[in-house]
Amino acid sequence: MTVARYNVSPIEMVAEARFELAGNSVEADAVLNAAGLPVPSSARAITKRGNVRVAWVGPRRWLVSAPMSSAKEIDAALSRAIPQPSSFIAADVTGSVVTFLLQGRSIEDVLAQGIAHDLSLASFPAEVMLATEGWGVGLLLERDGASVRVTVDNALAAYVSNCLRTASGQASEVLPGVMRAPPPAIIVSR
Amino acid sequence: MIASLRLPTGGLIDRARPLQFTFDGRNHSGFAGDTIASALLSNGVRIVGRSFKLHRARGIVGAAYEDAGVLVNRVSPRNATNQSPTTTLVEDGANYRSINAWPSAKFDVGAIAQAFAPLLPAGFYYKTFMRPSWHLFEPFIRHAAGLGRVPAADTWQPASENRYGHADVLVVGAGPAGLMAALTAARAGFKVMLVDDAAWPGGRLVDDGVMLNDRPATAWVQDVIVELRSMPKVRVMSRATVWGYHEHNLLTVIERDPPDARGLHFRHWKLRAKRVVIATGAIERSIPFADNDRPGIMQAAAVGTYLGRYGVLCGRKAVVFTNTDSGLAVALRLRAAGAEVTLVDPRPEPMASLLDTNVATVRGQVIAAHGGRRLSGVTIKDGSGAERRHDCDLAAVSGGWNPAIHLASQSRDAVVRWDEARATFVAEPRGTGFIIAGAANAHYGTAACLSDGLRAGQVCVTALGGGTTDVVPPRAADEDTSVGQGIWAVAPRNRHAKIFVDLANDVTTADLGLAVREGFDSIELVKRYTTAGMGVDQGKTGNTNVIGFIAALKGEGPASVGTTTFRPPFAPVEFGAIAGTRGGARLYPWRQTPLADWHVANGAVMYEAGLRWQRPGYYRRAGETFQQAAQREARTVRDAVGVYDGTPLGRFLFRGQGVPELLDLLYVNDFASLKAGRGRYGLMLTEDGLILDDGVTFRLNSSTWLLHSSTGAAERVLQHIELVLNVHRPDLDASVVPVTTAWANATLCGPKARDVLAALRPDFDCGPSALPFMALREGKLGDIPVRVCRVSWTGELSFEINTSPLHAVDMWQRIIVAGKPFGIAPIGSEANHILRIEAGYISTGHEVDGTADVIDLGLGAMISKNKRDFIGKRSMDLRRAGDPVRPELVGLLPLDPNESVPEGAPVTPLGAQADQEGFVSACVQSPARGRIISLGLLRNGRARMGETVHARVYDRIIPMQVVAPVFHDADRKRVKS
Repeated sequence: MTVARYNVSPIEMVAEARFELAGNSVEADAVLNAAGLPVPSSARAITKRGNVRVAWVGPRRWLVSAPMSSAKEIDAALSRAIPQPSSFIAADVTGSVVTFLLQGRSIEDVLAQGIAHDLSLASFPAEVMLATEGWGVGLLLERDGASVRVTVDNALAAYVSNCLRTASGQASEVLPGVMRAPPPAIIVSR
Repeated sequence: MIASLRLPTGGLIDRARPLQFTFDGRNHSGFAGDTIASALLSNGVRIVGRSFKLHRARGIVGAAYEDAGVLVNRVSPRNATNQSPTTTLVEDGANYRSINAWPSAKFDVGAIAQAFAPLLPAGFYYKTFMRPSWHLFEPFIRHAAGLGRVPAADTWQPASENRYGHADVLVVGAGPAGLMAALTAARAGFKVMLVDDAAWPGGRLVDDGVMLNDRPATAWVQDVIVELRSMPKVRVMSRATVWGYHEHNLLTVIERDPPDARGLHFRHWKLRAKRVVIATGAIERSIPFADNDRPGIMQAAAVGTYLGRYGVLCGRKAVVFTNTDSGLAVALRLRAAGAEVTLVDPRPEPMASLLDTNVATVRGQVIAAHGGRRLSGVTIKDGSGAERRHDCDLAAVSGGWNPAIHLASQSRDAVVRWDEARATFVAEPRGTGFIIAGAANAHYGTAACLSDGLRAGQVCVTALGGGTTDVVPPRAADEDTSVGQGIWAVAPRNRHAKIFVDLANDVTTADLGLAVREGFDSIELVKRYTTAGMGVDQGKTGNTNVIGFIAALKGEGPASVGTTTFRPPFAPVEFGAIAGTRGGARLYPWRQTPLADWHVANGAVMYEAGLRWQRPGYYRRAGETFQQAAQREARTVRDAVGVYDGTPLGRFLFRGQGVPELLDLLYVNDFASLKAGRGRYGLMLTEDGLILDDGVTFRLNSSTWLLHSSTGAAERVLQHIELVLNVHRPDLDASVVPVTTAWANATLCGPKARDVLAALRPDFDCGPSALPFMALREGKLGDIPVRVCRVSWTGELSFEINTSPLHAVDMWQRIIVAGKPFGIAPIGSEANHILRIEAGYISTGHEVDGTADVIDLGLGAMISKNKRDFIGKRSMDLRRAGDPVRPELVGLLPLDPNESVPEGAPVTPLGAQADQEGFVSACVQSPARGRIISLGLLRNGRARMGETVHARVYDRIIPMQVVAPVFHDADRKRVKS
């Protein structure tokens, strides 16, 4: 087996239940409290309660993550908590994202190959969800102890996985269903 | 056989690790730590390459990036083109070859070009070789000139990676000033990056054998580096070149063979720094004289570097021609190393340290070099005007110093001006982003450089909110290197002699004179006309001489001539290093659906179909062409049932009391009246009244809506919606969440689609009355939760089955199994394209081309008459009022039913070459009609039904009949069945 240059292995994590909340922050506080979910106190913050994590990922956007076994319970709690009428949304987006767990001593060496954001602890501390661009696509980054979680839209997961593996120094892996290279447009005259 | 020029001791090379290599087929030896140049010099190799234009013999001139001599190729073990011998470490067992020479640099057939030199003056390609045709000569001239050949694509490629980095203080250059600045900032606790292009830090402290604190400076350098490396917030990079200083303190760096990454050849950095210290030192300039390109004529500082760093004596009988004190120091070091040295200095008063030495001194100038392919002597003209030939194998030349202000100038935040007292251009920062220190700031003495570096570091520390530090500069001799006035060229005895001011591009003083005589009076024009400063060294040694010489010709000073523009890269950078790993599957992002593996496993040919989604184009079967596969799939849909992966369709969830008003603003038609559980096709315009996108929106319940966009327009539709919600109508009580990838989609289409759906055991009634066209149902297929929408884009009965991506593969496989008795086949985007054209449905990128409006496409009836306004209405009305005769969507049937017309083909009156009146937007072989059909936009098209128009494809004219733009199921009975 070839030893990767940076000894960092991106591992695809088991899918979690995900709910994306959209609305203003006053409504979000009220809904999260009413649903019994932790409430992030500031933008980018991640608040945890048990296995449930809530991240404030945008001015009008929150992301609730929890084990799949809690999905129905959280869905029901959110449905009850959202007032009627209201423009506040709690959309079940389970399965729409993939999370990779990066472990190893050189995580920053790998991530800094595609992410322009300063990834030092000062700029990217724990308990913070960093929404940024990496390898040309949107990523959510989160420290988990000495590890980092990288969350990406499921449509881009194979691409990001390829980028992470290559950045770690592993040979570029060709996954089933993944183009090794973007194919040329079909030029055959119709 | 030339004896080795390697001294028995000295230098920083690892003498315990000897190595062997070949150059132009000859075996040579060196040591680990040697550059190719130092190894060749130690073996007495003088001719390393041939010049760019005239194929004159050239040798090593410098010791770093300023070398304007030659490049070499590494033939093995890994092919690499255009390696700089002065900055590339020699490899054990490597085979190097000269470039631009055949069969070797020593014996080069191309040297015949020198016989044609009178035909090759500056700008010769505008004047000579014109008759009978430039193109007759061009291939020979291009072949004879130039540098190495680009390697074949399948040859070895270096491993490269890109890296972003951030620093409080980035120090460029690890000479005395850079080391002091880095140490000062690091001790103050800041995040510091120290970048140096040499293998060993120290700069001229190492090159010149300087003493600090009564010890060799290398000891102090080592102490500083050890301290810096011990600090967790400091990164020291050697063999790393800052090649660009861009906006907002973004600097690009190429790091070669980084020691912390095994197997990596290049690491390309993009660094952001709060403060930058430019401590890049100074570049020694030459004194041009007749035939000053002979191998053996070198920069004096480079001679010192080879002595100090590599233990190489560049010649045993040396002439040092200088007008600087630093040149004198080199003469003394050469003498101490055992060379016979003659000093030629035009200045009236020598440096005191020269007294009591055995260095012969001549007050005068070197006016010419001798020797064919290597230096054999020089002619010296003394102060009395007497000339004499002096034999030598080395001429070390120093004409003063030019601060390396390239990066400061590139930042576009510096003023570059001529400093008359120091006879050089200097840079002064305009802003606070960077500080220039040391020799780059025109301080040439060691003590001055050290204290200037300390100052620069302290300025950074203070600016970043730090306090004072305890850094004290080491004690250095308080010498200051005086610089005389520039000598831009020495007048030759023979007026036809070649005096090179730019070795890289073979530019002579005669070329400069010609340029000025021909009216190129701006230095920028002189540069472009003569190519001075445009070679691989980018004029690092020659530019100031060029400017000075031009100034003298014009009777002006260098200040009025000014400089040319400094641009990145500071030094050559491999393209592969910049690209890093961004190639192949990582060239740009691409999307795939959860079903991608299934598609590929079942023969799908995948390629992009909108917004970088990799989708099945068609499913290949044995013996089928691409067209045959697409036809088969389309026929399956018309006759039985097909299923396609509709996952990439854009989806947006809306909620709020303001959504109906928002949708009425976004779409031309009415949505407020839509009932829960039903959907409506809508057309969305840009603010300038053209079609942005189309799609179906469903009302899920009283306050929640699901909007679909086309795949390719999903991102711009979201931006449009966010703009409206956040800028134009923040008062609307509505929120939106993009949910495109929260759903996977399998779309059943064809007359047997309902049969397949029923076979999937839905827990809801899917009959035509319970689930009519444009209705939506949520429920389960077996145990899989789904949302089924009755929407069609194929002109057939269709059911869009949506489920969680986690269930996508399971659901798809069940569909394939359930559909088998009904003849189901997966279909790709090519079949979809055929089907939608037959049905006359518009498509983004084809009919929706960014110029069409709703009425153009025959959809004017959709415009609500009940609404006061919608986005784009006013613009559309205004445009139509001013241009009522517009291209309109029509069907086009080639008179020859087998004649295919390329999409995009213009339609012109009778096939003329001008006066385009429309274009063919789509053209396919139609399984439903058994012939070629097409759609197009034609000026006033709807009024021209039955008329014959003509598409022009290059010189071929294709007559086509104008028909209605629907070729299948015109009354939509199948769609609504």
